[in-house]
Amino acid sequence: MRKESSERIELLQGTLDMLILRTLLFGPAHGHQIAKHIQRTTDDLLQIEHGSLYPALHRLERKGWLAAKWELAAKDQKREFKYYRLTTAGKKQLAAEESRWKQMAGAIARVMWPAEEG
Amino acid sequence: MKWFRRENRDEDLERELRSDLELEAAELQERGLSPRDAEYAARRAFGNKTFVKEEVRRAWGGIWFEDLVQDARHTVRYLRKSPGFTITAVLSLAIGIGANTAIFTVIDAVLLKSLPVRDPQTLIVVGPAHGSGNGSGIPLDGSFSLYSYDLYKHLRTTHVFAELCAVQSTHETDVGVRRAGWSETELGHAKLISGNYFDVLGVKAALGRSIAPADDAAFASPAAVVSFRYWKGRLGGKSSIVGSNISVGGTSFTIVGVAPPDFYGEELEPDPPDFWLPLSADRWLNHQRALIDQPDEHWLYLIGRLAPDVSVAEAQIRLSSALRNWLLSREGSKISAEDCAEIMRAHVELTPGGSGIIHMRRNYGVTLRLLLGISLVVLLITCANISNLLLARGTARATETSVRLALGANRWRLTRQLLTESLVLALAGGAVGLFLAESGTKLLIALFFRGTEYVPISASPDLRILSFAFVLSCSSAMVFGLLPAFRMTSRIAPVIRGASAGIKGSRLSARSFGLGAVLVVTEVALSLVVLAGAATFARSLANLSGQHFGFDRNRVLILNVDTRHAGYSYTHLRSLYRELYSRLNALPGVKSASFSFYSPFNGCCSQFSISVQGYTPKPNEHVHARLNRVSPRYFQTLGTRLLLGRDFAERDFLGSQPIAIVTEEFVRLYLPKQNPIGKHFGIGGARHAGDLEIVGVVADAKYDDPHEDIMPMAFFPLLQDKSSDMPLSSDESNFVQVIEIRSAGRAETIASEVRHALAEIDPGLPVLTIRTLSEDVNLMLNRENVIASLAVFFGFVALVLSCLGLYGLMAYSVQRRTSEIGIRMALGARRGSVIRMVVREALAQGLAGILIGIPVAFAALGLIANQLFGVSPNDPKYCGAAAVILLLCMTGGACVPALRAARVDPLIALRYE
Repeated sequence: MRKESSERIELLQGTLDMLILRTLLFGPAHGHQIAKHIQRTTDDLLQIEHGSLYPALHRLERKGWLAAKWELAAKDQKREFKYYRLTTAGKKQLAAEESRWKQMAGAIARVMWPAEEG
Repeated sequence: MKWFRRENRDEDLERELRSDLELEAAELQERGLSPRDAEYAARRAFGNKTFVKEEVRRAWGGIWFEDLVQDARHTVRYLRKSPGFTITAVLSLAIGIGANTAIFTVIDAVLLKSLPVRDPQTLIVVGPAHGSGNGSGIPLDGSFSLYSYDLYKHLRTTHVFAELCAVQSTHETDVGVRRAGWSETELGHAKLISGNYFDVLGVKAALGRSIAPADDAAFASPAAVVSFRYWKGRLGGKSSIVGSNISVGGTSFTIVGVAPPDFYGEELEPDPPDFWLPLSADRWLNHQRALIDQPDEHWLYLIGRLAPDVSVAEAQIRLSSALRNWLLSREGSKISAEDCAEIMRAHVELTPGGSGIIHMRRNYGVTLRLLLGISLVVLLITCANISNLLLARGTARATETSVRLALGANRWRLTRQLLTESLVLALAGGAVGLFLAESGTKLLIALFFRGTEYVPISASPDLRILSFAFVLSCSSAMVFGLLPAFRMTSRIAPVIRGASAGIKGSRLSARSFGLGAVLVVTEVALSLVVLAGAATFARSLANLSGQHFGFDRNRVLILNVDTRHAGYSYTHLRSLYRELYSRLNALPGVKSASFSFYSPFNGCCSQFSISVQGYTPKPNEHVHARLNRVSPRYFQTLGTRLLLGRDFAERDFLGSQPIAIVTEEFVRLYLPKQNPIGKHFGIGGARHAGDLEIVGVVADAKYDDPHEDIMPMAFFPLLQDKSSDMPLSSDESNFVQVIEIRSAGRAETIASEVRHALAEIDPGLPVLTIRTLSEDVNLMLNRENVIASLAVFFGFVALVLSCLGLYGLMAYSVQRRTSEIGIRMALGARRGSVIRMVVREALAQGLAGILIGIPVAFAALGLIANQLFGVSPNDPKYCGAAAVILLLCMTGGACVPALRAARVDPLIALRYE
């Protein structure tokens, strides 16, 4: 079920935050959903450790980029989940991180593949 | 606050993780796993839930503090479980920290604090901020500290100072105070100040107004400011006091204001002024010869603030030259080259005046620092002791610690928790210590300033004292906590493997036992230093107080009286003295009564240059003597032996012929190898050498300082006719200050009769104090007494602590070695040899401590050598005595666990294995 560790990619520091914020752009989700979404979207290339997911969620909540609320699940009305939602500040932060990421990716690309640029 | 919400957040997180976990399990189940397998798989996927929780908590921040609170809670719970240890540790720390804080409180007040005035740091004292009394001429080193009123006015014209005030330098005047409605004249303390004094210091009256320059003018009506304490304590504390009258030294003053509560003047001293009077009031108080009108009599301190554009160096140059000009102008035109050279040496040094005049600093500085040093050493011993206790407990907790380490507990976190324990102990000790410190400070003040009524030092801790105690507590925690904490977490003890007791156990604990031994050796060494110090101080005090003073201090009553301000004229004095003499000597129970200007250890004496007929001074020799005026029977009353010639007789009151009695030392120095009776000497230069005839010689006696060498002295009749230049004949010394009574029984018993007789002779004669001569001697030795008592006290504490430490270590060691001892006994060892073994081991440590302590003690005694009297710091007696006492007590301390070891039953001991 899990990919071998060598095939998985270690997340860069701070990248997880951006991925969480981006995931929540689609709408509120709980921790499990967020992890699953990232995993699915990356074809299980990125495995989100619980040991980093929950601290990241709480860190983002503390910074005010996420807001959390206990709600009944949409499809399973019996269970309550802690749903995270992007705040306005969180949206701004996402935009900022996205542009920073793009810049960095571009910069790395220029170093790695200089020929393709010209 | 954040940490209060922690429980909620933990719950919330728990619920979040659970719900997500359940969902994961449900999803897995949908894929076809059995419910149990699904749950396991979900858990595996989640990994270590506790770890996740820890990480999340870290994300929330504030974890450091939460951990601290958690540690503190844990600690309190833990300490509660062992009250014996906790109480011992907290109490011994409380004593250590309390003693240090109390001494520091006094040090802070005496040595560190500034005056409670405006901008104390810009105050400047003109001259070194000590020296007192009054005198004329140029100081020996040329540096002026006191100034006459005329010189003060002259120096003001230099405009070096933005403001400059003058204040009487002699310890304030003791005066008789009377008020309408009072039955008796009371003793009060008055201080003369220039009119701008309060302005310069920036002190505003709490009530009414302060003394203003106008009050100091020549014909101003007498005005006085009273101290807050006097106002509250003696004058009823009502605001109506302003404007009312009070008689001070026989003159009626109007009270114009009350000084603020914390103001005690420009000098921290016992019994600070009750009254501040303008300098011009000197003419009212001393109508005979007011110092303010004597241009050559230097008696004032000058305190001011420099003008903004003047540097200290520049001010010194300008003031010194103004001083020399003034001195030259006083000499007139026909000045000798010698005098001129003398004047050129005269100069002024400025000193920072933030602490005002600092006699106390000079008198008590060394003593206080010494005491702080001793008490710090005692605190160190306390710390070593607690360290040892912690180590012993740590070994008992080794299993717990090891299990926690093995389960992956953060080592730093564990260390920190152990340190928190130390910190909690130390802070608890510090808190209790603060309570002790307040009473301790009061006790110290009472001890140090015995014989005085009030010292303006507050015993209640302020912010500085609190921070001192806090820092001291924290450093103690570090000192006693660090070693055990690191030792305990340094490795996973093999105890986990079940080797918690038995023979292996004893070897395994060898390292921590070794550390304990090091601590005990340190304790013993430090105790030896303290004990040796205590022994030398006690010896020094015994030497001082047991020495031969030259008088018999038992059964003598000393009354200080104020004849000067009672309004007597010179002719009136004659009849007063005759009556005093006959009435007092006729009192029942009185063996002999006399009166004088000075008595021993009671504010004595002035020293004067003299010239002796037929004696040629050696080059650079200063021929001098202390002078005193006494009534007939004075020597008899004090118990000083008359060696040659005669005592003064009643007819000498009139002093028809100028005569004197001199001391042995006087004769030895100035009239050796001849009969001194009938020889002549005089006060001042050679032309006075024939003024006085010696009629008697008395034994030497100490008058001023028990430490000093014997000084030459001369005595005159009270009312000896004035010869022109005799300083003593001119004025105040004719006025008796002291009455001495030798009683048949205990001196105190006749005090009231004497008082009664005095009131009958003249009800207006103020009696300021009544003490016995031996009390005066003890007061003079008070500082030595305090050091010796406190050193002995600390020595005792150190002794108890180090014996406890050794006892604890040995008891612990015996407990660890129960099975070893059991085996020894099973193999035939006798009880006696077991006892010897334990005691030998204990004494080995004691001896090691003593061997290390002895050179340290010698070095420490060398440092305090100048504080000792008749004691050589190299004398091996004191260290030897300390070593013997320590060894005896330690043997006692070691015997208890040794006997316990001897009672070990081999069968039971072996069953332990």
